[in-house]
Amino acid sequence: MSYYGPTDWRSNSDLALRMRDIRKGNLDLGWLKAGTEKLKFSQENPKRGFTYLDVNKGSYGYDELAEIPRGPRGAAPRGAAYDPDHQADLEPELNRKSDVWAYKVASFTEEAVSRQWDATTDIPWNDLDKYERSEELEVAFAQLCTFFTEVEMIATDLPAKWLWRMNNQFHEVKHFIATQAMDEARHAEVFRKRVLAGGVGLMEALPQAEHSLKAILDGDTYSDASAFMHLLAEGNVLTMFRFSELISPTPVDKRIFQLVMQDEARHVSYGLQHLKWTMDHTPERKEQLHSALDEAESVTINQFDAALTECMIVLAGKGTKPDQIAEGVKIVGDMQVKQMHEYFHRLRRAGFEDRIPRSKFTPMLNDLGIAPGFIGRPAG
Amino acid sequence: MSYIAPKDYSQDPEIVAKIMRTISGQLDLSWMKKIGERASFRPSQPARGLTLDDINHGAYSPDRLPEVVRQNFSMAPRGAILPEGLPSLGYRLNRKSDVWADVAPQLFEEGKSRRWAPAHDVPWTALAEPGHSEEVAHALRQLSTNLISIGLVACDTAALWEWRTNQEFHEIKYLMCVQMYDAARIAEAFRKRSLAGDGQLGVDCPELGDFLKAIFASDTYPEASASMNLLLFSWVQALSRHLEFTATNAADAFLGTRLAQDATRFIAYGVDHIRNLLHARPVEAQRLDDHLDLCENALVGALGAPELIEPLLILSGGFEPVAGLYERTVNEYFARCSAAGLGDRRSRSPFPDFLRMLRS
Repeated sequence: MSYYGPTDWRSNSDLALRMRDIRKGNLDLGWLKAGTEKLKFSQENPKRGFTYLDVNKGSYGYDELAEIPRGPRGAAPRGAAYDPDHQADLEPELNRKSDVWAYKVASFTEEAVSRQWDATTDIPWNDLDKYERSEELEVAFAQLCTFFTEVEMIATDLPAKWLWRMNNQFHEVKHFIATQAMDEARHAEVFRKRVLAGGVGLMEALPQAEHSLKAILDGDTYSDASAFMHLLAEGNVLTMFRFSELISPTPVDKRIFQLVMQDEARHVSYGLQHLKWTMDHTPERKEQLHSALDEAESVTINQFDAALTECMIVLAGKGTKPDQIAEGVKIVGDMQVKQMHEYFHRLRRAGFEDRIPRSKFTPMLNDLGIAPGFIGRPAG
Repeated sequence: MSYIAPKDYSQDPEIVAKIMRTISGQLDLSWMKKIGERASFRPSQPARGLTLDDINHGAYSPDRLPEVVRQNFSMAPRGAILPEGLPSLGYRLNRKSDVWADVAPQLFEEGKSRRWAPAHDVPWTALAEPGHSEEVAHALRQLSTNLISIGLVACDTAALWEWRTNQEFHEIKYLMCVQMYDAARIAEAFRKRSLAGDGQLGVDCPELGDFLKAIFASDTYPEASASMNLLLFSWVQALSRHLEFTATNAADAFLGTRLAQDATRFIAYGVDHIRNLLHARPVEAQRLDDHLDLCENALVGALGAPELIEPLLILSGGFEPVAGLYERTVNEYFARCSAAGLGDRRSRSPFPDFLRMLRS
């Protein structure tokens, strides 16, 4: 065991004396004189309930939290009284607010908690039998769902990798990350269930996608990893979810994509707002983020996998005949351009527009002659 | 960035050529023939929905998992076809007995279906007339402060091990996410409870911090599981029932009930996990016993700390109910250890001495 604690309580005479005093009714009551701030807290909007926004006041709030909060490093909650000499140091590594913080993070957390859903009961699984699906469309959909089952857990593992390294003073961010881990576990679950309910079963895993996942997990800093995962990867997946809703073979599948989309949009928003916070408060980190995204964009380009792209083409064109493939190519091409467009739009909103000319996607899109000149155009 | 790809793909003419082929409609489509075991699962009980147990059959079932996973260190889902070239994601928990509990899929399902939201499910307005004295209000705020710390560290502990767990055990990973979520909700709910109305937080309890760090700093996942799920949450569950029993308003009763419900899931997983581990690898018992000795010692320090025992005395109206609560906690915990295959821990645990100290 790595931590033993300073006291062997089995033979501790102070504890024995304290217990004797307690039996006699002689209490210490030092904790009653905590000296912590006493404030009035109530629900501002009864419909919304009692939220983190309602308790954002004084020493308990996050607005007054400094960039370098010199508070507790252990389990003491923000705003509680604590003794710096007698705290079990949990040795957090992320101790600067800008390491983790995002505008609106408390609202994102409240939204996540109130919008939880259940893949077991909120999807009308038995309705799948009501809709006829051709074998080739079901196979294509099974490949798409195999991909989503494979990639969604990265957005659980990456947050989990960093959560326990964050100082507990940033509990709103840690809570948000816990909700994200839950959301993504549910996404992996719902796609696994869909693929195993459809008649085909799981198909082949995709090595190129896996290398991207590994690159996300191995990010040097939380902000690097967040820019790659929340902004770029989940941004791309969000566009794919919207597209997948459009090409879903059944209303049951549309329902799945509607539900996962609302979660994914929240995760992308957190990533955007974290990047914006970083740009606004620690612009000196820009070069590090550029460097991380150089590599992230490169491995994302390598994700252009035949199975993934082609299954979407088959679904979009509704089959494998030449005219159906031509139609599918057009729709999927538009979707992929949209992915880039939205990524650049998010960079711009985060105050990181100088990333766009440096992006690895820019020359690639020009080489391919795809939508020339769209780069830098506002999204709409 | 730690991961550097073997080449800069943006400069790779092969990728451009591949994309151009696709754009021109020349598809490969060989992937359409790579179908594994066919599956068409449906809810066994329509009212309950499509559960993990409903889809855990054949190649997709955890029953086919070997004790040592050697075939997959990537994120490929269990039962998918594994092509050449899948990278290792660096998992450290690759033995089934390190993490597995047969009850995990059901607990995951339960965790989702019993979700609640502190912001709007707790009847906070009931605290306008709490039905207790100002002294009890202080005691409840101090206990809430302690529970926030417990929630924060339990969330950290589940997270610390989740990302190191092999994807072949995805049901366990899902459950760890439920644990992170539930633990973060404990911290949220009791922060709001402490601050609601004329609110304030209490004092950090250093002995509780030591106990929580002993769990957080566990060397192995089985140690973390035994100390968090079995020991810590046995205490939290007993405390939550006590909070519900002593509640004088609907908000506190609600919080006590929900906390007990959530804590029970941690315990259920812990008992089944440790039982499964000791069945597969009895040699681990010694290590777990040693770890629990030290964690129980740290919990004795916390149970005797003024920041924990004194608010309980005030809340409970005297010594006897608190002594009863402590005895009940310890007895239930020992029974769970025994059910998990750890045998009778009474002879080596510091708890019996502590309980004697409390009474004598």
